Amino acid sequence: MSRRNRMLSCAVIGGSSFAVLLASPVGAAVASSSEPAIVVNRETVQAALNPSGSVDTARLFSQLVVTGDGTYLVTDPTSGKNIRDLDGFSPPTVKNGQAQYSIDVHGKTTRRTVSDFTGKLPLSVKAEYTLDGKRLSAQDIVGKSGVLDVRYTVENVSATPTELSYTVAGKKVTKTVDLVTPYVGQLSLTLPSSFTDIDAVRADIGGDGRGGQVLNWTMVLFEPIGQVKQTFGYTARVKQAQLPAAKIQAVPVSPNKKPELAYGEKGFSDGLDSAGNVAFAGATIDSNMIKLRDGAGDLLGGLTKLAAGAAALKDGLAGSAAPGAHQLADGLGQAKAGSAKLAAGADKLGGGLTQVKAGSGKLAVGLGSASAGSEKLLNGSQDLATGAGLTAAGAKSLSAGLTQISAGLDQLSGVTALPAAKAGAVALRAGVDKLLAGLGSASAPGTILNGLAQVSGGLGTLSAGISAAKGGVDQVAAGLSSALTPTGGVTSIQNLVNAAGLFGACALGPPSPAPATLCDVVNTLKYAVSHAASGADLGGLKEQTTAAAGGLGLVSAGLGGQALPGIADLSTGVGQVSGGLLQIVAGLKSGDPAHPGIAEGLDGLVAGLTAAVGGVTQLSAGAKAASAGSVALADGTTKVAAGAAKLSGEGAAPLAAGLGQLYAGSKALDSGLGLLATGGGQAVAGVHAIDDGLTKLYAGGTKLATGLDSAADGSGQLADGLNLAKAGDVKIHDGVEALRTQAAVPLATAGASTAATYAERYATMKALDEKGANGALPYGAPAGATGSAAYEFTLAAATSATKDNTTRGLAAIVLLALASLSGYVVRRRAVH
Amino acid sequence: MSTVRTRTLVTGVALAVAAFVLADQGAVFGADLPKVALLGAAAGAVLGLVPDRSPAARLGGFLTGFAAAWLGYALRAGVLPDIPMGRAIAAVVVVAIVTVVATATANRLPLWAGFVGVTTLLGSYETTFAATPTSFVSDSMTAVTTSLLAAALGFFVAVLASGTSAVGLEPGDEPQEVVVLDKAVPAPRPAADTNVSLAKKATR
Repeated sequence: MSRRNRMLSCAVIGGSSFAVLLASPVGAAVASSSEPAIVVNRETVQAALNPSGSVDTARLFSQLVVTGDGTYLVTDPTSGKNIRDLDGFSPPTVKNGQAQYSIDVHGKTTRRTVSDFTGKLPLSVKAEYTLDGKRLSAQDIVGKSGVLDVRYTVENVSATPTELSYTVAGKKVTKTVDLVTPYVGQLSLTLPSSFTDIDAVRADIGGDGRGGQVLNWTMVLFEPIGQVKQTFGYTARVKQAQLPAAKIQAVPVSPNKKPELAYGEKGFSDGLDSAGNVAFAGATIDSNMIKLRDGAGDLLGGLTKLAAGAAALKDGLAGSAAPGAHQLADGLGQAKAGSAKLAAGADKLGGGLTQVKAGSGKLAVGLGSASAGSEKLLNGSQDLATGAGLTAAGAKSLSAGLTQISAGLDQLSGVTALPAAKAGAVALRAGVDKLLAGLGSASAPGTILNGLAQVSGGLGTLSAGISAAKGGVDQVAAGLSSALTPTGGVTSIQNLVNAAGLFGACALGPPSPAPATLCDVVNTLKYAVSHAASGADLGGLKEQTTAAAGGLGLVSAGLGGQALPGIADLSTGVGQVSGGLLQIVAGLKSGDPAHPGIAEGLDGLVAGLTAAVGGVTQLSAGAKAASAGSVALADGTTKVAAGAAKLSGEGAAPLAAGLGQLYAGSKALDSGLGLLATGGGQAVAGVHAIDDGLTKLYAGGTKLATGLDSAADGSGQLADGLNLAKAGDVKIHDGVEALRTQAAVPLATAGASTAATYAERYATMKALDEKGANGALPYGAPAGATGSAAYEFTLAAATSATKDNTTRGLAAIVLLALASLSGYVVRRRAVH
Repeated sequence: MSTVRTRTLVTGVALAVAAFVLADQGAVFGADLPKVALLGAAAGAVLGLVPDRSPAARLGGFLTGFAAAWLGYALRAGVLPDIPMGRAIAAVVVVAIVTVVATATANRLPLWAGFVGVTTLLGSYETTFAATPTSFVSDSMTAVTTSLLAAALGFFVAVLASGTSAVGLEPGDEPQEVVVLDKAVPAPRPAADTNVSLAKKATR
């Protein structure tokens, strides 16, 4: 190449290079104005770990992406140790951990640095190696064969005291817990084909296409979804072992922005709501059970009083009212018998008076005829003497009859006869009034009918109360049954717990008194929600709810099938007793003249007896007058006989005069006998009225006695029924109390406990959201900037690389030397 | 079959056997050796087959370029920014080193051999470096030894099989400045350039 061409070539190359330089970002112009920049900071920490997990080196890669138009001063918290600019040749000045950038940007630009990481790594990694059951270091295993077991332990050590606040059942709870930054990560490694019989629990295993197997473990390094410390690994049979490197990548997350984690967070929220509903339902059931229990107690008190009242009613009816009624009936029977005799006597008296009246009429007619035939006396004085003798005998008989009548009337008007009957009737009337006052009415306090009305009202209230209680029990039972349906609260909790178990890949296990892991919590919750009852253990929430629903069904059946019909029977019996008593009251006093009762009959009896006493008094006076007349008649007829004799012996004139007086006397007698017959008829009517009244009174008294017997029996049945109801109510009270203490209270307690647990977990998730929201950068982002962080740990492989390198290097040197020397050997042979 | 054809066939068969052995049994020297078997064998074959300078001189040039490439990676990993400019600077440094050495040795360590060395390390390590630049120390040593061993075997086989081992060892084999004799056709035209020239490389 000529000198000129070489110079031309250099010029062309130099010009091209200058043009390329001008076209590069280094040649960009500097803007003078600026607007608010958008700064995004990404910080990545790469840590090289020894095979045991101890940290060898750690570097921080910081990347600033600035979007804007102008020149911006950006202060980025970072590590300044051995900092190097990855985008140029001038690393930023770092003062007090703050990298100072003056960035000229028109659009978007990037500033990247790498420096030594000086902070504390948020994750610690530990690896343990066992070959054929013997613990060895990784390097000691290299080249050996056997069964290799490798365990990796990754722990999130970023916890800082954090205050949590949440509300449980309306009560605010504040507590401070050590809360980690929420990291999720993955450990991955590739086992070569020399690893066989690989057993890696929890790992996702795939092939690398070259005979090796790629193992991945996914980690959620925060609670309550994951675990802060996780241990896992693999077992394999190895030959000439070379332990591969393992890479761990971890990033901080905001759980609510990751669907799979947000699902868990939502599960805690839903669980909180569901558990709160369960607790509320349990508390509501408990309070209603208390009301039901107290109502049953009140019902028991009412039934006790009702039973006592029914017993007192029975005692009063059977011990006093019924015997009094029977005595009344007996007295009325005796009065009825007496009145019947009285009526018979009165009838005889009436008949006698009629005969006397008829005899007196005939006497008057005869005397008239005698008077008229006095003229014929002369002709028949002999006959007159005979007839007068007969008349005197008849007059004497009449006088004797009238004397008997007068004596009978005196007896009838005596103190022990009609007046005594009247006094008895008046006493009966007073007794009926007292009986009526005792029976009273539904509105008169202190009476039997009022008491029965109160009993009836109490039974109605009792029936309504039991119906309401049954409705409440049915509602509680329906609520419990609803909670057990596939969409109910209890089933939802069970599904939620099962879903949490699936999400956490938890194996079924026993409950734990102090759960330390998610799986412990899930298994404990599973046990609490559902397990079979055994002995004193009533089972889980589901079984207890089922038992509670069954018990409430029995309570409801008892209330609806026995208590309510019993109370209805009681109410019917009380109604019948009230009806019977009202009939008795109506029989005692109807107030209707057309259908008189005992009181009206007694009133009529008293009036009749009063009239009878008056009539008998008059009758007695008439009878006495008639008796006197009859005596005079007897004397007259005696005298007539004497006169007739005298007539017969002395003349007919005195006879005619005597007959005239006799005729007048017979008329007076006939008139007196007419009055006597009239009074006797009235007396007979009054006696019959008495007899009729006493007949009705006796019938009413008999009915009263029978009704009171029935009332006494009914009140006894009422007392017995109320005693049975008391026993049933005691069972209801005890059953409700058992249901409350064995189902409702545990349900409310379990719900409240679960709600508290879920509330704390949900609050923890919200706090984790906040911790992960700012990206959890190890050094923090510039003011006003957003950012994110990532960690990458490389667990060094344990191989024979150093030895292999040495071997290869020596072999290469030998070959190269031989090849180089071969020419000299050939040359020497050629020369010789 | 002519001698040239025979030698070429023998050389090819020998190199094929060498590549096969490297690829199939190279794992004896580490799992990474089979991956660079063909690359290393080919680079070594080139180094051994080119009849320019002695095998030792060719090897020297090769190792110079090999070392320069490794230095370029070291600069990229530890000093230069991770931008095109950084990679460009590294490339310039590598080429410059090879060129300077070749120039300084008057091409006794031939320039082309240096670039073969550069290419050999680039071919075996570039992908690994791009993935994990922070593992330069450990990864680069593996790449260096594996590719160097493969190239050494190819070089050794090629030198022995092709018969170029003695090239450059004769007295006249030392590098000489090329003498160009301009000759006018059909007749010389003094003081005037010609469009047709005849270059003749003088050999003795």
